[in-house]
Amino acid sequence: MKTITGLMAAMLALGVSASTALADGATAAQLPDPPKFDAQGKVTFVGVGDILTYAALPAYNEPEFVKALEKAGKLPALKDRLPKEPMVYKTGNMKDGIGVYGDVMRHVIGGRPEGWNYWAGQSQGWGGIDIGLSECLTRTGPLFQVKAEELQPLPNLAKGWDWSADGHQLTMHLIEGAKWSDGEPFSADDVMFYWEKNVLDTNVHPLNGANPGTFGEGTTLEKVDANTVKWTFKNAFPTQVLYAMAYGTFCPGPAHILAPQHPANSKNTYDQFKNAFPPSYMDMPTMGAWVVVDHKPDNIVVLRRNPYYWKVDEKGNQLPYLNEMQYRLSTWADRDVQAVAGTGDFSNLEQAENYVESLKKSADPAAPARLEFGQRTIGYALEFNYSANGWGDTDDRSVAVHNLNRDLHFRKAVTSMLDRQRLGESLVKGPFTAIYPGGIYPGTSFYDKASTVYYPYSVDAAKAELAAAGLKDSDGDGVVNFPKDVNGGKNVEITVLGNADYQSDKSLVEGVIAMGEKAGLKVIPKLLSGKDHDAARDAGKFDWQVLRQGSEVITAVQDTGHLAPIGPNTTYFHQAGTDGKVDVMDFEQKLVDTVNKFIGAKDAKDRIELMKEYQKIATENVYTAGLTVYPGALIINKRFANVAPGAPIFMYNWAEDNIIRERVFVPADKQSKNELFPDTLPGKPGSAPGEGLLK
Amino acid sequence: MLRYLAYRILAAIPVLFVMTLITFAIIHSTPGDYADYVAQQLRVQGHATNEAALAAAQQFRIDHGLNDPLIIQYFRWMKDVLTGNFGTSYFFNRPISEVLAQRLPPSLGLVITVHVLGTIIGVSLGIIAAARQYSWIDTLISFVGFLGITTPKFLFALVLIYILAFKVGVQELGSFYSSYWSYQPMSFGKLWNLILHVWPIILVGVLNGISYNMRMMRGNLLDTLNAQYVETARAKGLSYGATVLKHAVPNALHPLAAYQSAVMRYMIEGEIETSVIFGIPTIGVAIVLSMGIGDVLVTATLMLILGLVQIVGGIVSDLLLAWLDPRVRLGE
Repeated sequence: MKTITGLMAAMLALGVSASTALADGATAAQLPDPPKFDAQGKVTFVGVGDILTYAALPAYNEPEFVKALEKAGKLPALKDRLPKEPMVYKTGNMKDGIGVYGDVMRHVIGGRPEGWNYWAGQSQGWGGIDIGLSECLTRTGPLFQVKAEELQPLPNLAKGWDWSADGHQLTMHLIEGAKWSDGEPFSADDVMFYWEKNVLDTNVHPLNGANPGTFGEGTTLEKVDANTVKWTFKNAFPTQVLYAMAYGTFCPGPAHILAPQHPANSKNTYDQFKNAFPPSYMDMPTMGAWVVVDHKPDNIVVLRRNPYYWKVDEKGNQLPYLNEMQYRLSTWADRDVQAVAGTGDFSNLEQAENYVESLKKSADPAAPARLEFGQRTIGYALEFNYSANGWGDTDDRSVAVHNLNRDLHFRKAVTSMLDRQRLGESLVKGPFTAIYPGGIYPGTSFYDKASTVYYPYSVDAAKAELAAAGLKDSDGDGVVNFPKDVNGGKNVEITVLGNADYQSDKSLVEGVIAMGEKAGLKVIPKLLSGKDHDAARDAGKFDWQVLRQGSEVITAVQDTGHLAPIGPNTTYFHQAGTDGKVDVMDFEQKLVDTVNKFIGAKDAKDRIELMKEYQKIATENVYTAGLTVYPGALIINKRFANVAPGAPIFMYNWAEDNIIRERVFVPADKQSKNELFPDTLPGKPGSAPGEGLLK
Repeated sequence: MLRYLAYRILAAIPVLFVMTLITFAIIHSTPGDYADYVAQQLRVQGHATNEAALAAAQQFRIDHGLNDPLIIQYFRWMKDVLTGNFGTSYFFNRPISEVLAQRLPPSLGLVITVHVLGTIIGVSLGIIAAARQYSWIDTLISFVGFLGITTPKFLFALVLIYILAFKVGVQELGSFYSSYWSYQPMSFGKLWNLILHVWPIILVGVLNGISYNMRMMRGNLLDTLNAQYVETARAKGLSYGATVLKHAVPNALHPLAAYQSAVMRYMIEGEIETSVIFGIPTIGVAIVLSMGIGDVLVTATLMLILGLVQIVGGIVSDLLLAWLDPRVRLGE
């Protein structure tokens, strides 16, 4: 009897102990609001109509030197160069109002132009060159300032669009009478050439990966007339494709230049087509504000104003205000240094470690550059490799850890062990960083605090959750062990992949390791650089990874597929195994369903509700363990005006697009003498570098 | 002498061949390739979807034969090496010979300037320090030498660039010339602009070079000054200065001459450290860049060139030694 009583008492004690452990496990709490700080620019939210319209104005204006060229008969009259109804930027949305002509913006980049055939996959060296050269059907960069209720891509080459009643057809009205930078007319033929001979032709691979699937499987496009095209979709109202029609997947090229080189119309091979416009080919026609007129390999790329640009201000001044763009070909790290020193004009400062020093420097009245902090759109999460079916490492330890990752108790233990306040401070002290529990970033359009489940820092809760996951320190060495029948009951050792190229990534990895040790997990760093890091990530060779996240958690409407494993390799941490299928868990399936509904939702309200649902499922189940979010800072020379306050360095697009460079200007008294080709305009396509200029 | 030269050049050929094999194998031993870099750029810069980026990477591998067996890739490169163009750089999208032709002369110019200044100043300081052993001058020079040797060049470069960019506001950073001057023909103005851009790199390199040369010269000279023939020269009534300069210094230079065979490599390594930090388009920066992004043919070619420089350095050092010391006979 005594034995039975004792056994019962022991069982009761065990039961109490277990329930106590669970009761002490991770409990959701109120998420603290991100700290405010003065250096963060305040965005003035507006409607699309407050930014731009399309209208014929009574008179137009242009720089004096262009007038002189026009007078000399070297250029058609301005009214003949502009479209019937140019795009007009509203003065009310321009921080410093109507601008003046002149000066240059000097960029520094780490890339090199491969050539100018963007549409066949050639990079122009990035850093905003291609953004400046590419005008697309729609535009997303400036959306950071658009009110949530009006949120949809801005019109651009497509000045408007209508949905059919059943939502399967979308008719787009292109800007009428606009011209390429060489004076040739822009029309629906350019759009159709891009669609038929670049997107649909499987032998051609446009730079940012546009393919028929980008616009929905089974989608077709047809020309209605010279200024109208019509899309037909399998699904009704796939409004999200409007985002895919912006940079960088639907920016048509000059068909009159490209088509003769395409294998369909010539004896060229596809490779010859791709390389038909090498880096030495100047004055490649563009619809963008500037045209490439000179390229010195490994030294500089120079762009001059496009005399046929189709955008104006409300006073009829043809844009851009800046006559020239320069791109010094250096290194990416050099970009920040040169912008701070004043030899460069523009940089996206992303490494939080440099914020305080850069702010101090910019506070000096004599400093050439200022810092403009945007919203907190740089964020990191700890991502779990969920694959238990052969993607990535398949040794016993890795498989055991991947299976642990699939256990909610384990994930709750991980999220509870993270002291996010300290993690943020390890990058930069001060009010820059904010606690990020996971899911959509706080402060962005689709974020909903009420739907966000936050498990606060608690080592005790983490230990309790580890116990609930069946992990105990059976050998007393301070590290929990697998159950005896899993991986031989060895210590739980977890590799965490991080990018060794960035100090922020390394600091966060080190923080995760230290915090894991306190909770009883042995976390081993796997810090790799550049391509090695990406190769390991893409092959799934990690247990956890500290990753800087992308557009999907900022805008939700871009790269939406990254939010859940809706395809075999849409996410970075859970991909298809050897059988070609993703072994999704129940909560992941809910995420997949929600994301798919979101993609197909027409109504803005429905989309907001769906993203709330996504946020709840993702954060409640610790889909990823968020770490920290912080703002990037735009370093821009103080002489520039019309830079919208709070412009993020990256949101819907990079800052080079966000600030709408064509309407940025330098007041007359601050203009520099840095133009390399003053009083000149681009020449004929195919000119030699620096030699075809119109002057 | 000619026979010796011919022998050394012939002997270098198999060394270079083995070096190409080893270099090529080592470069390919790390995971990832340039296609991964392509995918990364598409994701980061063009915010392409993961699927699109992976597809583009795979296409790149097919187009450029990166999926071929390593041995086939090696022989493809060797064919290019033997024809003198070294293949095409994925990143620069130009023949590697053009990249070399553009970057090698200024790199060598920098390296040689640093080397010559470092040697002349270092040897001179070494002589002064040895001749004034244990004086305050010796202590000061030795302290500077100690700093130069113990401070990593990249750290010195980082501190210098921080001061120049963040504190002083220097405008000449990150290239050989300002944009304006890069368009002008050579003139005093352009030369001055060049000096304004490269002096920090030369300073870092020279400080390091001075230290090595000074310490070596000081040690050698002190050893030589204790030799019997120096005592004899002094006993014959030769002045101390004349004894040092005419008898001791030439003999103390032998180890320095032998050091020339290795110094070129150190100089280029130093150039890599400082040029990367200052963002100057040199060979060193191209090596680091190409290794980071998997532009393997550029890395392999540049390593080959560095090996060649090392071998040439060895030959020059031997010739120098023979010229300095009549006891040394080449090829006999």
